[in-house]
Amino acid sequence: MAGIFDFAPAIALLPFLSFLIALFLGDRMPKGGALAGIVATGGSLLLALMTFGAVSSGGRQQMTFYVWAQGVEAVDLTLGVLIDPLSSMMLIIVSLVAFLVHLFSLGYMNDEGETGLPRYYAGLGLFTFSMLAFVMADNLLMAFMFFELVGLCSFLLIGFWFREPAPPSAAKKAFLVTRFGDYFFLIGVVAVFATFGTAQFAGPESFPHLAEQAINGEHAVNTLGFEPTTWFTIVGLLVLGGVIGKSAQFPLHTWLPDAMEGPTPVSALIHAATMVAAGVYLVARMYGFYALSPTALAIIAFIGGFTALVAATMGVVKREIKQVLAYSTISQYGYMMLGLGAGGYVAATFHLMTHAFFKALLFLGAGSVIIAMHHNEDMWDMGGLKEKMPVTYWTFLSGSLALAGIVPFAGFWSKDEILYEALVHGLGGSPLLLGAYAMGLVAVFFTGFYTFRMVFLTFHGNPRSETAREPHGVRWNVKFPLVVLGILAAVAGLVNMTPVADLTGNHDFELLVKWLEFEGGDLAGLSLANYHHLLEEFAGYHAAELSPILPGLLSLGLALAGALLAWRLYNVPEPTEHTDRLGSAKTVLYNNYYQDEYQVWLAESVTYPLSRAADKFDQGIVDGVVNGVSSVSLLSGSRVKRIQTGVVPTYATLLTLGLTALLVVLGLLGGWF
Amino acid sequence: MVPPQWYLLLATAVFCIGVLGILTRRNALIFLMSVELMLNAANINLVYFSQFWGNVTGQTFSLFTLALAAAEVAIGIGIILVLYRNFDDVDVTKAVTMRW
Amino acid sequence: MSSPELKSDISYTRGLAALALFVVMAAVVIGANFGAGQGYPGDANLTASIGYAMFNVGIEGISGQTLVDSEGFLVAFEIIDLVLVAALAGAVLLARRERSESVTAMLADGGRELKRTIRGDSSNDDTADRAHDGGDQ
Repeated sequence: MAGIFDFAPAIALLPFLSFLIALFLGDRMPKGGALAGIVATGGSLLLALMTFGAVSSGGRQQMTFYVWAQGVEAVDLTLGVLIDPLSSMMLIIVSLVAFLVHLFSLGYMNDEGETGLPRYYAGLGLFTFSMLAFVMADNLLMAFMFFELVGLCSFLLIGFWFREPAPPSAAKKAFLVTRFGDYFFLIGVVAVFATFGTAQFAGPESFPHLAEQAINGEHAVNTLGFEPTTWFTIVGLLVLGGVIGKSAQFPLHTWLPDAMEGPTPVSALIHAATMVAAGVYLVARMYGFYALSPTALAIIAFIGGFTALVAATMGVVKREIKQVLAYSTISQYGYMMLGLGAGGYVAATFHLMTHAFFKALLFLGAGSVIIAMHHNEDMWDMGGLKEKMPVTYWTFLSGSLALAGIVPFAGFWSKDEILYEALVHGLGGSPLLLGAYAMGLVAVFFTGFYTFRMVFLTFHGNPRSETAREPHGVRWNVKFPLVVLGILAAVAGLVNMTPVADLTGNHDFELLVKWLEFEGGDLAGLSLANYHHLLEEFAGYHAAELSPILPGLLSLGLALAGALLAWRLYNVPEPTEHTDRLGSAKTVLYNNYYQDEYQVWLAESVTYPLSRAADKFDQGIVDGVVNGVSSVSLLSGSRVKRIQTGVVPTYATLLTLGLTALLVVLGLLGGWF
Repeated sequence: MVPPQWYLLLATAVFCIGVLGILTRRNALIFLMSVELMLNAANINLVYFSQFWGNVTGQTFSLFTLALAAAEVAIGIGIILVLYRNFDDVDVTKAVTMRW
Repeated sequence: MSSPELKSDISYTRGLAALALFVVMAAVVIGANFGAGQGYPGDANLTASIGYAMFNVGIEGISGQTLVDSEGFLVAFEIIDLVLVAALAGAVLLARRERSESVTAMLADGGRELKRTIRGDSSNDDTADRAHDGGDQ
């Protein structure tokens, strides 16, 4: 069905249409634009599934369909569509989660009697459009444009309840912190254009391919006097700035916990499954470029591992359920970065997929709990919700088991594959990766601990407050998405069971590997085989011979240990705050290692004086020139006007003098004298 | 016949005395008299050169300029009358409201 | 009885412009070269010439008179006639006072009798006072 690729832009444009409908007609619609959004995302999901079917039967597509700036002896700026296994997989994930979130919003927003719903559904529609267009982008500039647009939608949706003081401030913080990263990203995009003359991701003229040829010495690109590898590392790190900001890695992670001020469906869609995935997806998209530079890969792995550990420690002491999930998100994206940096392309994309499902599930479950608790998010006021909310409980438990990485739920397969890849590549000749592996491993223990602390405090034990005793009921529009995601969280891991494949020797169990590996054609640069080749040749990543069973058992054991500790401490009728025993360490953790205060200090002491100086330059010099020109004319005008004194003899004098001067000039020219 | 330079010099002198009157005198009536002087300086030139070239056009034309001067003075006196009514003074340096 | 003296309350500074103009024009004039002049024929009747030239008569010559050449000034004569009439009317227009529309302005002096006659016997001092208010400008 090659014709389906012609409909690829419609996947993104349907939610855009629902955005317009919700924006302009939402007031008149019964549910405030929700139905338009549901239909649109459902349509996108259907088209994405059909595209997936087409891709799995061998179709690929890379099409530039709009040149929006024709370069004159310079680069062309285009908009295009790139459909390959990675993007078609991501399209399904994004449209599925968006569809379920739209359904859930009926229960969270409409049934709770929220106002301003057209604005909400318009924001969701615009976000879905931008995210889908970002996934399908075929060049770096288009990806950057939609990267920024999702950031904007995040800002709009976090600050949805703008009449209270906290959400607008959180929205502003999110936007500014990600913008800081995007500044480096923009420089990186310009650098790519300047170096390669093109920003295409795929095809024989794509910049990863040109970079590879440059290192091999077959093709000359403008590297500004550096060694090609050094320059490509620099460019990769510049683009990484945007990735770190958007995917909430250390040190630009501070915005994500504050972003929980937004409605919970927004948190589920944007800050768990899709927008923060944009950064990781970008690295995966450009993997042919990053694979050429071992330094960049090592930095990515280290940042990922460090973030995973630090965020996991911070999640241990939080009181509100959404905060725990926010830090968990930061930590899990750290894992994905670790996977990418360690050369585990399949592992990272696998974890991207499973994480989208189980994190969205956990957020939606938290949303269900929040509805029940009348919007009280403090876990210490909850308890005993297991009997009152069975559907929520079982799906939440499914998601938590996936998050903690307990076999056979999805998180186990993907997270362990990441750690396995880090280990084997570390042992195979890149010992730096072992440090990152160690950090990721320790984080597994903490992950298990905080996840089950959250589950036990929320659902087990005796109810600790009145609202917990009589929770508000939830309807089918909340339960249906939870059930769907719960099933997915349980079974999604089965698509790539590497340990089983190794045990049985039957590689058919590694469906994802086969999905991402394809040969030949124009888009060969995006295949797994090419990435393996690049990693081995340029980054020096060789895989040691190690069975995945042992590392898998090791991380499973750590996860179970963490879960067991949480069971001992918190699965009691009246749990206490055991984390108080950590003393001053708890204060540090609770205050997020004072990162927020540090960043505010940076903004006030460094950025603010700089911007004031720049403002002075702008007003003094730039505006000053313009004002100076006008003031010259004003001044001369005010001086010259004084000739008109109103005294007639003065005018006569001027006449006479003028006549005399004219006579003198004419006489000199005409030779009268 | 008297060389033309003398008459031209005479006319120039009369003209410049008229200009001097316009520039320095404050009374509007004296202003009008100075204007008359300037017109008559031109008449001197016209009459002399009509004799110089042997054509009586110059003299005839000077009659017309005299008539015009008379008409202009009539209007000028009318204007001075209105000026006096508005500013209570015929001093031209007092009527300075049309200024910047 | 004081002797006439030069008016000293005027400023002569502006007069320097007139002096400069005189100097320039004199310099031009003195250096000019005109050649020899013609003069009139000895027995020409200048006044008659002017008169005939004014009315475009006698271009070919009048018998019994020696005329000097000239252009015809008939059109200019008519126009200057119009200009003089316009100047007269303009001077009168400028000179007349602005006055209001009311008829009472004409009754400035001793108009009570006439007014009473015009308006009938119902007039008394009140109306007269009211009338006087409007007439003063």
